[in-house]
Amino acid sequence: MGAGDEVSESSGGEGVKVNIRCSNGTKFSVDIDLESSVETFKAALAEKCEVPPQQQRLIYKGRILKDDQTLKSYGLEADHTVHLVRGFAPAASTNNAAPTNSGGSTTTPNSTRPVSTNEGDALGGAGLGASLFPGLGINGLGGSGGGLFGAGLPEFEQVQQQLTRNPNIMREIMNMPVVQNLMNNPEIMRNLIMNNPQMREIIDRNPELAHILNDPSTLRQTLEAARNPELMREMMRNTDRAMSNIESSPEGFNMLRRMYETVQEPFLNATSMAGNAGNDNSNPFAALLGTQGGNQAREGLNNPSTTTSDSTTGSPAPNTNPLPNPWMAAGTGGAQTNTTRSSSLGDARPQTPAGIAGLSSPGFEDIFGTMQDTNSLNQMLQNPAVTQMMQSLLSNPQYMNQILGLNPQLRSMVDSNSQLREMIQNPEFLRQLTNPETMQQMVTLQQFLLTQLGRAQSTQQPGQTGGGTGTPNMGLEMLMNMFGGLGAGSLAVPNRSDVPPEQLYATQLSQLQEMGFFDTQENIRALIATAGNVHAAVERLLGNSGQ
Amino acid sequence: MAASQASLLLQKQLKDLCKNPVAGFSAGLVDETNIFEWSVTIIGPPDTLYEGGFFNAIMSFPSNYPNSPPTVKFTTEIWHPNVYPDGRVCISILHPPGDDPNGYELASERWMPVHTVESIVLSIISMLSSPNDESPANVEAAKEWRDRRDDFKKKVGRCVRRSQEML
Repeated sequence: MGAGDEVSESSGGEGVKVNIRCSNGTKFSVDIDLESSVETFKAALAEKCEVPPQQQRLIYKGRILKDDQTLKSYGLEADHTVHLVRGFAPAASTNNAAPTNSGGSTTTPNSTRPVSTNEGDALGGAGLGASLFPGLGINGLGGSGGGLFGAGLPEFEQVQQQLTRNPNIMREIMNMPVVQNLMNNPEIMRNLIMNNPQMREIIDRNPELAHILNDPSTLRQTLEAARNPELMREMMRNTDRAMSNIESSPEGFNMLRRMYETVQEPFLNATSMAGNAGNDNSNPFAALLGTQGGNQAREGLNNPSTTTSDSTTGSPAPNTNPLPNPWMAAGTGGAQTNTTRSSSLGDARPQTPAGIAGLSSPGFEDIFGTMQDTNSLNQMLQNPAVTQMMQSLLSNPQYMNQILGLNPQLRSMVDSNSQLREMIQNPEFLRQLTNPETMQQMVTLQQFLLTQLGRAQSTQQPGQTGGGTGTPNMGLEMLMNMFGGLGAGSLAVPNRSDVPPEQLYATQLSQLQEMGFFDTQENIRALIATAGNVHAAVERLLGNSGQ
Repeated sequence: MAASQASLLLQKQLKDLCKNPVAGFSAGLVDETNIFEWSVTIIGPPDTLYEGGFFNAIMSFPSNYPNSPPTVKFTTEIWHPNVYPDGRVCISILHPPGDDPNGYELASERWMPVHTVESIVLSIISMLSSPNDESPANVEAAKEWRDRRDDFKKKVGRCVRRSQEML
């Protein structure tokens, strides 16, 4: 789009036309160099509308543009439209930034910030927090970030975000001698924990926790994982995925809740009690978990600890706890899952970072639980959450092997077909598999293949599939299901020829209809032309009607 | 590369929204390589309690979109009867198609493949201006909305302020 306009890329001087849409509905456009900063852009806008730059809020592609970034960094292109909203005076005068609406007059957010500096003592807690929640190192580390960087960063969540976004900071923290020392010496951590009576009590009551704490390799792996920002991000993602999966099943949520109540709550209570006592040194977790506790409580689980944890941040100030970070909440829950649910699975893969192993296991069990039922499997695989999880799992050959080992059905499939086994155990192949492009191609290929099969009225099996193996039909179907997730909805394949196209492509037709292509004749033409491939048909239809 | 129907549709919507955005929100991708995860900023609708706020949400589409609805989850804290405490949005059009097992919603109120990012976000915006307290996702918020409107306003006001500080 507008490729011709983007002279700025080469010459750096020319402007492109960008449309502005104000909140009151007016529109105008300005010429601007995409290399220029948002600040300059705002200044340019100020000339065209009466909103001073400090009060301009620019939103593009779902993001709020920050002053110090360039327009290009947000992917702004010529002829695109940016939203302009009149905001309030910037942070310098936060106190009088009370919005015009009725809600906000009484509280002054600023006054509460210093309270959070008690995180500063949590240096020890950093590593510990991380190790307590294997795989959720991020929670602890976020906390430690607050501590390490002191009061400068007001919002816990921001710190955390920054940490995850900026691998360097994370690495720096992790490479600090103090932290490293801590990490390399699980003994110290355990001592720290065991020296705290409340913590000890918790551990006594929850053997699962003790198990984790007593396994130095788990600790180390967790921290190792935490040191690698990529891995960490992946882990957080996975946790969230896994959690949303669990939550979406009706019993799942209850289970989480129960786990929360049995493990997290006493834990939080204990730690926040210590926090209230005001002796942060005695309990490195207090500050850390106090903050977290607030979030947790606000997750609305209706548990009695709400009051306790809220008062942790206490003082006369209102609760400044950061926004309930969905990742974070999920994360902690995930930890519970890990501890209470499947140490066996976790143990089965000592090589892998404890976090991931534990995190993915619940989802995993589900997958295998439903393995028998191809339909639900298929459905599940179409869920991007699962796809993603699968993807990340697949990217590790070891997982793959374990999956194979764990699932009798798959195992027998593999056993009966040595070629497939070789294929699956070849890391190179796995890597290729995880490449979404390949997956899609395979799906398309298979679809195409099956379509052809259907046409030829042949019940014979395909000699060669995309992967180059002659898998039995069941295997093929299974593979297809496995990869179906990334592909499109329809894997339904017509099995008979010599029927009118309306019937042959009934499924596809109805899909097209559902997507808003109402011209049946045109749909049929497109489907015939594309041999029943809905994607291609859509492409065709869109090509015809649209651009 | 043969793209799936879902990503084709989404791609088209993205293109349209970049060029001709709709008032009240802005949408883009979380990660340019993944068409299924959208980041949406909803501008607090004027003349509502949420006026002045900027609420970020993540929209995750299933690979079989438009046959199944996306999920929408606020990443900005928001106090609303129809938003779960974890940020998930609970509106009827995001519920899987078919009849409501609880009998509350008509099939026609639930997900239909004709919905687009635009229609979904507009529904959310209208949800912000008129909460539905009949089957609340956040019970506490719904109670406040019904019985203690002042408290409700205060909490929403706090969310709005926080969302501004985020800038």
